[in-house]
Amino acid sequence: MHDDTHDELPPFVAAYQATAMLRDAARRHFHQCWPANQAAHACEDPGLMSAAWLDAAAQGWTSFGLEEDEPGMPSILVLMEETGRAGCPLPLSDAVLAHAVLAGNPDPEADALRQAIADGRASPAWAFGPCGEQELLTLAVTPGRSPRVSGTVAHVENTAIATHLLVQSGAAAEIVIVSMAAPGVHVTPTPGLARPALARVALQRTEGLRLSTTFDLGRLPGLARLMLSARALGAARRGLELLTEYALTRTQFGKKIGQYQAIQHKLADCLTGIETVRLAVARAGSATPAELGYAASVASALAGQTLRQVCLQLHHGFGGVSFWEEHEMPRHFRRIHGDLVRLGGVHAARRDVAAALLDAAVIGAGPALRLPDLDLGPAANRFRQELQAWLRIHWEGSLSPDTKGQPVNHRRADRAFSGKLADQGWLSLTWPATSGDRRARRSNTSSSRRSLPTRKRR
Amino acid sequence: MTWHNTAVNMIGPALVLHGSALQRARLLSGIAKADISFALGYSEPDHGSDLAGLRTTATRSDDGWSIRGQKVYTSHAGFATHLWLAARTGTTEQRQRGISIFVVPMEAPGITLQPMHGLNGHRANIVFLDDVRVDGDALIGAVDGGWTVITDALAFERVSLGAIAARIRGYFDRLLAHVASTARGGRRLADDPLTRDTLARLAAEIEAARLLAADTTSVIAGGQVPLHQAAMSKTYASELMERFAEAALDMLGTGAALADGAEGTLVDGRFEYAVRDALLFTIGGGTNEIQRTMIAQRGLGLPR
Repeated sequence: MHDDTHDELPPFVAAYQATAMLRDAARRHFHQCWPANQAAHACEDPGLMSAAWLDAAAQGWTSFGLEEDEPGMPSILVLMEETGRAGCPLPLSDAVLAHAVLAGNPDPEADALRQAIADGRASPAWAFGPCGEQELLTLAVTPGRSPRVSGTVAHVENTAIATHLLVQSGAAAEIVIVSMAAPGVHVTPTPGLARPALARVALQRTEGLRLSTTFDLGRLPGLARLMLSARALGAARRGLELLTEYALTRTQFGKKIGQYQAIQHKLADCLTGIETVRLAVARAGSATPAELGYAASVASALAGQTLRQVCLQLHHGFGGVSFWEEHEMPRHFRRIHGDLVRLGGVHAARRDVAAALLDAAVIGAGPALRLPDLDLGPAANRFRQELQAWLRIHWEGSLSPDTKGQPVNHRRADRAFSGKLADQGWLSLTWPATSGDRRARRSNTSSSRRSLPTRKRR
Repeated sequence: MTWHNTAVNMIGPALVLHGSALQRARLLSGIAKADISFALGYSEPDHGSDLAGLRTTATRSDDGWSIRGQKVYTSHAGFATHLWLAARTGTTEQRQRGISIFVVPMEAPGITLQPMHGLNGHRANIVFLDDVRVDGDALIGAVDGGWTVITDALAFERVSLGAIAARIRGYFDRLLAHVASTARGGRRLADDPLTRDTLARLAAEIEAARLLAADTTSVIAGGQVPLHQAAMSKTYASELMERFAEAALDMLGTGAALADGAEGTLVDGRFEYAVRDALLFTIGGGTNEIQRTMIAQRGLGLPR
């Protein structure tokens, strides 16, 4: 059944609400299959991770891609968040990107690999370099449909269960797929913050499969960063729950620590920070294809500059309790830090944001220099346009020179301008719907209320 | 800051919820027609965040109420038509259970204003109320029942304060245009990596503030009062305004610290004003420390 209430909500709010069932289902699934007290060890057990991948396939999650007839980015981001929360780093983002790229190739090999990923028989791993670039300079790829690939790629995730390695060939719109079981593949784990460890993969004249694609490969790092941000978000939200529970039960100096302002304000800042990232990720998930790149960069920038600090604050709130690997927090610390520095992390995301805002206009190829409007839904977007057009006529943009010498707030308190807004019927817009005076106007001069958003209860 | 802002965004919604039919007909209609504007009479010399201790009194008289006391930081009193006043109708020991709300015409005999001059060039006022007489219909809601009216009105005010994000966005667009058109030492400012990174960080934070504000309004559209959501929106946006203004000064240098009209000022003195103005947003509508307590208690269920 179509819920037309969603038409009146900002798309990022509607999309988040629409994924509630998937979120609940994923959370139940991981609660049963991936208990929190075993997650830290389970994620380093290839057998358990492979089994979890098959379970995910049975849920249909490994078939998610980016085409219009698929569940789409909002659902993918929900799943990434839930894997972060559960500490079960399945290669779902690698699968999404594999589906997206392979869908742009009509060959049967591409379709067969997509089917194998969907069934859980195959598990892809993308090779990205340290800054979101493919490490092409270290790879040598011979010509032909079945080239030989030599060189080393670094920072590859989930090599313990991956069946296929995907890399760009160096030519435009083209990738090479290598079987992880092929002769010449050597994997060296590189332990660090991430668990399971990332790895270097050395290829020595390894046979691959060259495939073209219509998918814009330049989008891959930004999309991957967005999905990693969602996974880190899940870990941070779980951390906030843990500290909140602890603050409600832990007593020090005769009071629950949650009664102390120092703890309350720390938790308030953590909640606010997490909410900003949740909303930014949801906004990216609901963005149109044209807006997705910018929205993803904003979400990744916010995640990078917010969630790591949130994580530190959560540890501070726990005192000495959460420092030990036996506690659940260290795995969230590893996840948040490990994910948010990958692919160039916050710096790469901010470089992309700056380029979107400055470079297009500087070279004369883009829109005016301003932040893009936030998509608030059709009704609110229409009203914003109407209001902006009205202001261009009725607001001079500067204070009257006649009022010079008066206090600033008195200069701004222009009663005549308020009267013009009243004439439009706009001074009562923010009142609760029970008011009988919402349509009061000074005069009946405008029909513009027809385009205003209406109120409905969710 | 507009002539109608407090009346429209704070008092109007509170009147919808708590005004009598007669008050709604008279006052809401006046607000909607821009005939009535309000100043806010809450803070007193000894009671700001702890509003429940306020001392201004309203005592019954034959034909209504007599009000005595003193309010401070009353920013709209110099031009508003009415004062939205919190006064004690019960005992001091009753705290918030002994407070009532009154609508007082600013022209009422017994009201005296003493201007206060803000860092941002705004005028606020000390409002002296010396046996100010109002009739019985000036009381909003029940006698001693003003606390609910106050907290609802503050919640609506915080929603509008989250719209600070829109003002920061306006400042940001001006800053962006200036950076794109400026060269320094033969190099375009838009090519300076530090400038680019700072702009991108601020852009992401402005988007976050806008998302929080939009999310808060969607809570209202759902028929709920966004207590902790509005507090998050206000806190985040107000502190971002401070960060933004400080960063703009760093980015542009001394020229940005010159006032509008001064020779050599940059971007019409916008950031010289913004950095002086920003503090007010972190304090107005309840200090951000009070907001954080509300976020923790209402948003996360932590105990009082």
